[in-house]
Amino acid sequence: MDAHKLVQMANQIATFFESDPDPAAINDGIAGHIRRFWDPRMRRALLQHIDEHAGEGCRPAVLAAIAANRDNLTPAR
Amino acid sequence: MKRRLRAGARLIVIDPRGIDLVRSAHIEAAHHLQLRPGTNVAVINALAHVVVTEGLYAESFVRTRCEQPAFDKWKAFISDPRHAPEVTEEVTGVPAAELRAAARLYATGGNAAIYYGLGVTEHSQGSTMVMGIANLAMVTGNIGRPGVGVNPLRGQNNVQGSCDMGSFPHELPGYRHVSDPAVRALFGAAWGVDIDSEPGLRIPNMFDAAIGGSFKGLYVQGEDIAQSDPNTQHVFAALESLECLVVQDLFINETAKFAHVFLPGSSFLEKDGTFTNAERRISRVRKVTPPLAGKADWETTLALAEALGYPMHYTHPSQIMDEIARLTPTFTGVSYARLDELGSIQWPCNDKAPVGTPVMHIDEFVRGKGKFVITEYVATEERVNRKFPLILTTGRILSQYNVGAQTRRTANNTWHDEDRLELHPHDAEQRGIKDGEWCKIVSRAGETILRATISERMQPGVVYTTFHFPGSGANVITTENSDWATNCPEYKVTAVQVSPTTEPASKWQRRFGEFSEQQDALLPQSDPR
Amino acid sequence: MYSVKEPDAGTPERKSSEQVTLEIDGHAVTVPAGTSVMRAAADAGVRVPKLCATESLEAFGSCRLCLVQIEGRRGYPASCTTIAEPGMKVRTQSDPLAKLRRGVMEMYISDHPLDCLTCPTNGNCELQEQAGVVGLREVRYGEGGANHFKKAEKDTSNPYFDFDPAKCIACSRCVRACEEVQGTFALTLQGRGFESKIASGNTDFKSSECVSCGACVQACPTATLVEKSIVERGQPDHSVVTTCAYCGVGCSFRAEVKGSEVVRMVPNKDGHANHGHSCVKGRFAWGYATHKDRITKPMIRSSIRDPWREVSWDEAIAYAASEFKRIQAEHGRGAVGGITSSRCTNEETYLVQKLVRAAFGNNNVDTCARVCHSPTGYGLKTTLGESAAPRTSTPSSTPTSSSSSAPTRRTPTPCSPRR
Repeated sequence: MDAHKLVQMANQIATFFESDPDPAAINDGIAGHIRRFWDPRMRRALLQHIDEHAGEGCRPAVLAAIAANRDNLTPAR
Repeated sequence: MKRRLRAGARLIVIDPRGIDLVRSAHIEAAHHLQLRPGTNVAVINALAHVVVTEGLYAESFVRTRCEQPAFDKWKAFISDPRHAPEVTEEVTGVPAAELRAAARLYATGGNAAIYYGLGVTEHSQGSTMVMGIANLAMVTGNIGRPGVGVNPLRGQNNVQGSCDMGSFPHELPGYRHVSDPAVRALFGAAWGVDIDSEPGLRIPNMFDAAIGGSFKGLYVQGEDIAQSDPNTQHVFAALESLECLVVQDLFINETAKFAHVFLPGSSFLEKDGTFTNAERRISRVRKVTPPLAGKADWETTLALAEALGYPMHYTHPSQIMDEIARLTPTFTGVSYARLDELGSIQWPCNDKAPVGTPVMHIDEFVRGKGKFVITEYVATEERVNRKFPLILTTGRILSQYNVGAQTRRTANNTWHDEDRLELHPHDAEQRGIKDGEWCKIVSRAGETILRATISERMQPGVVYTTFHFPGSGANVITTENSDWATNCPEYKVTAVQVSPTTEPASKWQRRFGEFSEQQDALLPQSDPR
Repeated sequence: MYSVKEPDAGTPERKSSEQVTLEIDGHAVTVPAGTSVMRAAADAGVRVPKLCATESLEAFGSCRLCLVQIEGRRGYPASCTTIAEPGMKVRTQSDPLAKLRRGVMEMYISDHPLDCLTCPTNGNCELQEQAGVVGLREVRYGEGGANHFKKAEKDTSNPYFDFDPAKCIACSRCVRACEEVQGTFALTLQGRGFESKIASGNTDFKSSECVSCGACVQACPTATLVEKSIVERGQPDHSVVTTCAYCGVGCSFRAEVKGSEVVRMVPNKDGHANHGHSCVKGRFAWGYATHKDRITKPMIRSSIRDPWREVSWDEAIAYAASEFKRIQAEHGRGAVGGITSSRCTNEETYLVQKLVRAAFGNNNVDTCARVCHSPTGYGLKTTLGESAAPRTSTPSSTPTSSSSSAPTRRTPTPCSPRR
């Protein structure tokens, strides 16, 4: 999967949830959306990109949401 | 709709183009908010801002029918002066006074309904806009009774039905998420398998995964993804990288040119079944003539499942509907016998609603209390600049249908025999483009050449085309930008430049023409064409 | 008109909490207040002769064929425009009425071509039928089928129907259908008396404002407006009620069939989504179903650079299945998927997603709704809780409505129930 595109998609998701005044809702919103709608290989590729390239290109909200929900977002297989 | 308008209903049109509804025989819109493409959410927020700050909202409806904390949060958000029409005017191009008047009419003119099409959904903020529309309907109390509501106009006959039937990779039939163990257990027991708990790939993700090498085989029934999806060159590359593409269709459509197996499809005249229209109305499709190729589409899928080692035992589509009814609470009361008796049924149809449900959300919303959602306007990343100063938006016309596989094969071509680029006289003159002559359209994704139609219906800075003919390459220029929530492509906004040319075809169009000729030559000679 | 005969009560149904009882030819009948005498008679099983009346249009009262006698009233009122009243006693048959109707019919036929045997609507023509009903036996005027329009050219410019003014009886059903049913106002009745002529503006049909919805053709009681498919293939022998496969309105149609060939699609007046109306696509653009480009034999090839090879169904299916199994064995369960169509039936869509989830064993299934209405599903589910339109698209009391697409250009009949 093209990591650049996944980063862009994650950033777009973050932009929507960032307008919530409640910081906890932002994390839950971003991570929950990715968990519910992204195929495991997409989540795996995003996590790998964040690990290998220090989160390059990701909005801070994406990184925060993923850090807080790492286990839940990591595919079982 | 026109009949209601002639009878005195007042109309607000929100559209970048001067469409027929704005002014035609016997109809004139009360307000036309001619916004810039891509600024829908700014407009809907400004409308809600006026309703809330001018105290025009339906307080008791909101109090009894909606979640109070979410409303309070939303009210604080929408009341902020940044959503005032005087502020958004610069972004949207909609005069503040006109927008305020429209908001007042919608909120105070009695029953009001919202109808929308793909001009709402096919944007990077498509889902946000749908929620913005729901917010506006809820805050004015215009939902849950006859004569009001939120009404998506569906382009295709069975869009509603295909969504109901579990076509999305994260949902089983009846919109139930695959991560829900109870739902998986229900279907797993009925089907005798374990159902994967992880969401699958969506169409754009399939293309990316195909290019990435992790997705190799695809079964496509009755859909021309090669022509209808954006950024054609990317789609072509994805299809070429598949090891097995199975296409089931009436014709060698654009997708079938990349296929390894072609399974002849059956037209709606050749099979039994049901369609569900945009108002959730299930109607019978009845076999009029025998399938031309010997199998109805459902029989072909049965045969493929059996060959894959998973036999399904149906001898008539009515048995499939019986299974859907058993497994889907909103369909419990639906059967072919009941459809014959009632003519048609609007779901939910079950013990609580034995003859179906014409109006949903009457006493409470399906989710219980309605939820206001914060809908911040975020400009699309597809921006105009000096290199691409115009916005291209795409659409359809009456006589042709979508990718045109059907209507192009009828006399409907009498009215529309090519896709053209429509642009405002000012933009045309600036560039030396003449009506009826060739012009080149270039975007960040690609370029194509069409004839120009100069029209006052367009606003300056906005150009328009249709995508009914494959050689037009309208989707060569559309980009892969998509809705943040669903990856629905942003067909309605592409930054482009347009220039006159004497060439009748772009490089892509010439390559496409050659490829199509090669593929035609590879068809069996016995084919009576 | 429908070829496969449909009852036509002559004027639209009325709804009222108030009921009216009257007597027609000695039969008592009770109808909702506001119902015409003609419709009340039809309810009582009595057919009053008529030409300009049809139940899809408001009564017009121009043909003078539906005259009746009402006790206590002078003259011969038209039953289509006379509203039923309590205690009314109506006679639909009498010697004077028969004479009047024959006189009226004689005038029509004196200006009508007498080419019934070669006429495309032979056997399915209201004028022909009514001439029989009133017992017309002689025509004392005219010149045996001569017609003041004999020089008039047929207008065959529309690809789907012909307009032959020589056969027109100026009942104006087409004009009214264009206004009342479609709302386009493309047709007008020009001139008076024998000079009356239906016109599509100052141009031919193809270049006119006409959107080819077919409402006028449906309303025409003669062969003046007739489908080219009927001209070419003749009248159908039976019909099947089905649902249009084009847009999301889901219009109900009668597919009219001759043998195993469809000869016409007519909108079903009982259709809940369209109430007898349609657009050019569903009404006329169904010829693709038998187009020569249809591929009717399964085909396979190992590379897209290879020629296609026609094979049996069994071989094609077995090849596809073996390839999917090979790919899954080599690249994992998630390496294959399926796409359902919003053009196919619910049952077919259900089967494809079931095949993906049960036979492929993954959730890689999506639909073309992805590229159009997936945000509707997400947005409405989040706010209201259901991924669907909340209500019937009946703007029954809609003072304002706001829109953000171009409904007139795409689907001309969304939300246009008649009553």
